Amino acid sequence: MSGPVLNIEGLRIEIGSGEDAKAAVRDVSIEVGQGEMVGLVGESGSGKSLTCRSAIRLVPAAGRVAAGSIRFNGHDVMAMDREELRRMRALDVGMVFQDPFSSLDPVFRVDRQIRETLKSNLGMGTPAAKKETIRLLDSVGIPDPERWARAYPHELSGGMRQRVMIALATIGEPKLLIADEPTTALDVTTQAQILDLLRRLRDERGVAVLLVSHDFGVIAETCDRVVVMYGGHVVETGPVGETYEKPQHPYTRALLASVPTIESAGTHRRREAIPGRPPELGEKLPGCVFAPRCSFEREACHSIDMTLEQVSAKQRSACPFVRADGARNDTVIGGAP
Amino acid sequence: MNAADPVLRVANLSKTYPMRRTVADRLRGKPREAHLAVDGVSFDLNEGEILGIAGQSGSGKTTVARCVTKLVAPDPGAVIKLQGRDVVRAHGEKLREMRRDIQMIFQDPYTSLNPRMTIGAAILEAGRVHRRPGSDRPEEFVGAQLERVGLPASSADRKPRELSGGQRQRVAIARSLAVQPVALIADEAVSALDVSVQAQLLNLFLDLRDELGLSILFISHQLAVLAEVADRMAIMNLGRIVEIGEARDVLSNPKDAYTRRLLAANPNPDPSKRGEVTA
Amino acid sequence: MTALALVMRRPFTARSSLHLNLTVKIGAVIVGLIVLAAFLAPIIAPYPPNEAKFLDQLQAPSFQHLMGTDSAGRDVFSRTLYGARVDILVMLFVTFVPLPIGVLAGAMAGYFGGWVDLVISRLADLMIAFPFLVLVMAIIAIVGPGLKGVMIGIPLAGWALYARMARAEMLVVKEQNYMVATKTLGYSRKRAIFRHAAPSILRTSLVYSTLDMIVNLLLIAGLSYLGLGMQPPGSELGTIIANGQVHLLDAWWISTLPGLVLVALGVGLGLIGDGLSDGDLLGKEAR
Repeated sequence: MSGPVLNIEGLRIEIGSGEDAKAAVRDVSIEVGQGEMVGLVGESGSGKSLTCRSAIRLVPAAGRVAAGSIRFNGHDVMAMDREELRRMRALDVGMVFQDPFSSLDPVFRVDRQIRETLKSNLGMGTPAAKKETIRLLDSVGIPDPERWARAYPHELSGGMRQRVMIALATIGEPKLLIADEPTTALDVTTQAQILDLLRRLRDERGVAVLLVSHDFGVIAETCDRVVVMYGGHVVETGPVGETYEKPQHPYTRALLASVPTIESAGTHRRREAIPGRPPELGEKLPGCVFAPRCSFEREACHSIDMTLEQVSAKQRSACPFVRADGARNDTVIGGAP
Repeated sequence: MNAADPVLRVANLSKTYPMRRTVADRLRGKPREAHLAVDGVSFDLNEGEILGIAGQSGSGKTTVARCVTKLVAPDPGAVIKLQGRDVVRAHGEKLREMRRDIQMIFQDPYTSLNPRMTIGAAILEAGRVHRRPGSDRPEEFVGAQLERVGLPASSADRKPRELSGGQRQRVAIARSLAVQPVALIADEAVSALDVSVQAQLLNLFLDLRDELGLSILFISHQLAVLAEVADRMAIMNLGRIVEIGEARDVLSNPKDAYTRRLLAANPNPDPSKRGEVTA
Repeated sequence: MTALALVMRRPFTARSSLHLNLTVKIGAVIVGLIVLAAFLAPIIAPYPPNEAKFLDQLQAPSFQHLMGTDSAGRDVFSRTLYGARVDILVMLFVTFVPLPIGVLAGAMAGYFGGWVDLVISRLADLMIAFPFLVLVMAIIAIVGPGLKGVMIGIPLAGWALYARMARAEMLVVKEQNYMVATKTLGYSRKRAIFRHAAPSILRTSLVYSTLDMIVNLLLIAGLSYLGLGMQPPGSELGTIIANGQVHLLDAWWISTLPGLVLVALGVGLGLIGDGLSDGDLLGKEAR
């Protein structure tokens, strides 16, 4: 079978109902190919979490997919009945959240939680499930899995809990792993280990990964492609390397310019911070959502409809005016008026 | 005070927390175990300097901040001097005066402001309690503090919940500035903010140092954040300072193995430098 | 705050504040009507409450006697109005005298900890553990039957629950950064407790007080019913109900109708408390 594992097209998610409905995600299209690792980067309120959760129809009750299609392995996720949806969530897609502690039941030992999931999702018998539990824990790099399997969630460190969550998410050899800020609550050294683990899952088992993060550094360390979201829109997408070298959209440029780096030690150079603040949920701005904070803002920005255009072989940007050309930060302003 | 003296001198600072014993342990007469959160830490914060303290969770960096402001009492033997005045033995009016002079900015801007007070009232209160000059003219006083942190004076009537995280953090800074301190402690003050807002706040801290001559103890788990602002930096691990020096030297030529590990784990936004992580 | 968190929160509060307005409103209307009628008793009561007309004994409800008459020919409606007034006044007294005392004690216990906490908490435990009715009856035995005993006895035990709640609340509030900030900003303890912690702490206690009022109302009526509260010939809902009890089969209205007033008052207060506890009328703030 070929074609993308996950294909989201023209997704629009509205919060609230009737006239109060506010669009939190607007016309978002994302594709994750088989065995591909895609990063979804954005700040708070960008709609990145809603977007990734919609892939398994995990949009909170107040929200609603108002338009667009979500396809998993070619199947229409929005049209699935309860049983199909359950099967997809149980077997084909794994989900890892930011806070591993609240996702684990505090009153059961780790092995029991995994075992129960194995039994209900794969129909395993107890002896097989026991063996599989140990194998899973071992596969996510938990040392001495027999011993740690007997631990309660609160006895594990943050990194260990996240490993357990990943073990749970990889039950049934899923085709896709969705990781929503999986390392945000962790220390940097632990973060590096978890990112290593995600990369290994992809390299060794061919699992496609959709990694959501506010930190471009995390995406840069792991992903092949990056999708940049801002104010509910995708503003730019392309290979991670080219996006870093030649960010096309002014927001991506500004975002990368404000990421602190080790290299700036001792220089006392002030970062060019993006002025203002990100738009709030459902804030309706005519034209480009980034225009009020953009240093290239012009009259025409307020009437464009942020569609992605091919701007280089692999990069697409929602800004029709600004283009990166040649070296990083060399900007040619031009294009269609 | 001598001009060359540091604003803040910390020497031999340790903090032990007794561990809880279970009832069974107590009955068995098991001795109380102690957890050494900070272990013999010494450093100086010079005038107009930004000193970064880096470390992971549990390294003791926040306990250092809490000892310096005497939110917790350090173990006997510690020396903490603010402009030559003894913080450890201060109490009552003296302690309140010293706390006024070294202000703390917290990580979570959502809980550091009283949700029931307008931001103007919070800023004015800080100035009035310490009878700061100008605080008898509320509007001008509050307006001046707000404008110094880059907020419009007109925002004085707003409640914290109407503000974004970055704006709240600015208000918390304005409230601290209202008491006219000589030093700030920023404890993970930008960690909860979006990257684009984080950069604004880092610039604000640099401005405050340059314009008001404030000395800042800047605590963060992100090395890259400290690299942006710190003149000197200290790396903490398991309660000890393992390395301290000029920020550039520490980060470009780390002497300690732990510092090197932290540096290696730092996620680099440049994907071409990927894979140098050896965790 | 992420968009997701907003999504989770927004519609929920929107719905509950609508719901809140309705429950609180219904409760307020019921309580308001009864309180108004009770306090206007001298004006709207058709007869003096203790005027006995032996010719009009045990009359069924009619336009002359809206709630009928009792065995002494007294107008039950008039007696109910006057009785409700007594009940409401005593209820307010025994609820709102111990409330500030308990809240202050609990707040101090939570804030200071150590021996302050030890003394206050053990004292509160003692009051809570002591059988409440026995305590009130013991006090009545000392000061003699009548509402005086009730008004001393209930507050004596009542502060303890408020103290416990306030202490627990203070332990939470104390850890909030804005309370830690009162220290780092060099504010006095008085300012920290009264200006910054008190509003959040009072909120829980005020919501609970609506429940407490119901309990106290029933307690006052109950004690009077047992003959330990209001003494005859004074009218009070409990005594009226007790008097009518012997006639429950032949003159049901004497006990039943005042009883319904008591129930309505209780339900009204309950609705107000319910609405307040899950809404944000008292300023529960979003973080």
